[in-house]
Amino acid sequence: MKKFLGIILSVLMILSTAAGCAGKNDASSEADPKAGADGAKKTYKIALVTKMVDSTYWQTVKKNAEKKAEELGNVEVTHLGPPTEADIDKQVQIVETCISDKYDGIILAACDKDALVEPVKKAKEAGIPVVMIDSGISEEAYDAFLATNNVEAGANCAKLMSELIGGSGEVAIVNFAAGTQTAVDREKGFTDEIKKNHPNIKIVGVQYCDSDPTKAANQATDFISANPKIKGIWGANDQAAVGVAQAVSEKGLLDKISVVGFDNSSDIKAGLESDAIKGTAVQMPSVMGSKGVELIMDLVSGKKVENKNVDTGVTMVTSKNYKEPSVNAILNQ
Amino acid sequence: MDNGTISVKKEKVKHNSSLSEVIQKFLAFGVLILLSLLFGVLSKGKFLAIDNILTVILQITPYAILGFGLTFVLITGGTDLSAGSVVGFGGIICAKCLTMGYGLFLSILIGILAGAVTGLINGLVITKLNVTPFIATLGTLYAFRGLTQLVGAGKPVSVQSLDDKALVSQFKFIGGGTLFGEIPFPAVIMLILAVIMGVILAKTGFGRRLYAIGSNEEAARLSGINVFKTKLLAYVLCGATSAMAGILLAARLASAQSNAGTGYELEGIAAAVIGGTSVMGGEGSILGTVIGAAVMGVLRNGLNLVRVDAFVQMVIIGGIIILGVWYDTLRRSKQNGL
Repeated sequence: MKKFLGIILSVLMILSTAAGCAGKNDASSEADPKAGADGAKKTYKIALVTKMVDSTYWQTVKKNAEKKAEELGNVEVTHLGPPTEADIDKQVQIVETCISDKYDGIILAACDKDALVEPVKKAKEAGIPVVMIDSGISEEAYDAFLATNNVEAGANCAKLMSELIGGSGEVAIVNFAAGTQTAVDREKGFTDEIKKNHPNIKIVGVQYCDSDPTKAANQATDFISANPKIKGIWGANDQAAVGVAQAVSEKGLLDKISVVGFDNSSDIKAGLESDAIKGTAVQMPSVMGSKGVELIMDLVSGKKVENKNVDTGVTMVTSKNYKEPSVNAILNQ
Repeated sequence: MDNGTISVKKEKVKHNSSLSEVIQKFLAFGVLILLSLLFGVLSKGKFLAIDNILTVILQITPYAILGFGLTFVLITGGTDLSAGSVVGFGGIICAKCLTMGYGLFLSILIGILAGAVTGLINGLVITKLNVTPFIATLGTLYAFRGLTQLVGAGKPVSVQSLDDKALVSQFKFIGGGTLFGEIPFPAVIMLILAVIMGVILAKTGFGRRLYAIGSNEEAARLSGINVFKTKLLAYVLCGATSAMAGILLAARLASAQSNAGTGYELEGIAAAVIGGTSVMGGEGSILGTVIGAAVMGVLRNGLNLVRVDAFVQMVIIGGIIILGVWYDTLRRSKQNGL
């Protein structure tokens, strides 16, 4: 009996919470037409759907999207995303829910270049503008694509690595995921640059750390054990770089092995300060966030987007130049 | 007289299981030695260098510690899929406390307690609401990960960037420091924990009750064992050890990632199962789990040293897990046949 009562109570609790949320939605959707009738500004709802929500990178996108929304005054940004980058199905579901929730625009970083094509097409059919950021899809179904050219950025990392190790020697790669387009592009950019322009550098291996710094540290340690003459290790995102730097400093080899990273976080900054990370390619997520909102609002108001594909670029920040004001501003965007 | 018969039965059961356990451990241990020798030869001695062996021990530490708690839970016939999420939760709570200025000792204590509380929740959902462990902890896997993200506001909590550099280096020592210039400190913690958990499991009444519940819960209940209390304690311990693993991970990097520990529950379960713990309950040991974790660690490190492709490695490791469980099933059916 007691148990039964408990079940009923918990069901009631869940229902009331759900009702509470639903109530809020009703209120806002009712308020909208009224506001429109009064001639006041309509509030535009934009969904920001990222590959996951829990990284400094996506939080920067969100922060700048929200800042832009605040500037514009009549825009509301909701940040959504699956628990991990590998949860492709969940991201598809999120986009589908956004369509049925009648968002005014979707800013999307695709977990998978093929799986997200259909949802984007569906959104377009429903008249919702879609601006892709960071990771695109295999068909040009979207309105605009703001991204770092990751092949280019990977090549930049290779150039910096070559500079650091004097143009010859063994290097290894700790990539953050296998089969994710961003990761594939970065790796391709790095390896192609090395093969083409730095014939005396040999890439001794590639490992994938699933954005887990502890795994990255273990893999870097194994690279060092297997290749005692190794001169550089590249970590292809922030977690990978932080893990690699940790392994190299644990081994006391910071003066022998150069660590180059990718992306930016407070841990990366600490690494640059202590010289454990010699350099990192900093993307411009701030641009993706603010420009994304701007483009959606342009599209909503019927303006045409001129450049469909925009490279937001990277800045190579090194342990030597990070204090320069212009570079520091990018590091703290 | 009643007492007499019960104790005789116990002796018999214990004798049987310990004999098979010895064989199982011997087998897992044999595999471990074989793998080590194989990699030693293939890597031209690099694998067997003291430095590398110590590296492997450091690498397996979080999985092994996670595996200890999971061994307790698995022995009761349960499981804890939320252990990986609790790794993240314990780590981030500890790091958050550090950034709030609670001091090293207190922060670690709060982190472990937070893990114990998650275990308590798991235990209560399983025993009081009668939800099967698989589903209950599948639910809390999401819930605890969500809490972790909430605490970290979706970002890593960095201890590294704190101004108190002495605190940072103390914290880092716990996760990656060395004693006598060689022995990784977390490995020492792991070994101490292994001894404590091993003694609890093998030598205390609580430990024996865990086996009894796992072998036959109804019989255990009828013979007067407080099943509720025993199970609850197993889950609390599992939560606490998961949090400890998480604190070590956070300490090594001086930064708690909100996605730390994702998928680690499966590593822990794999370590336990390879070491002879039965997923059906009633069997298992801490020494076995240490060996199981070592097999996984040696495989990963060894395959890296002999430069096996990252994707081929996944296939090999998956194969080894299946072989381990297959052997376990084979042994059980033989036992039942006898």
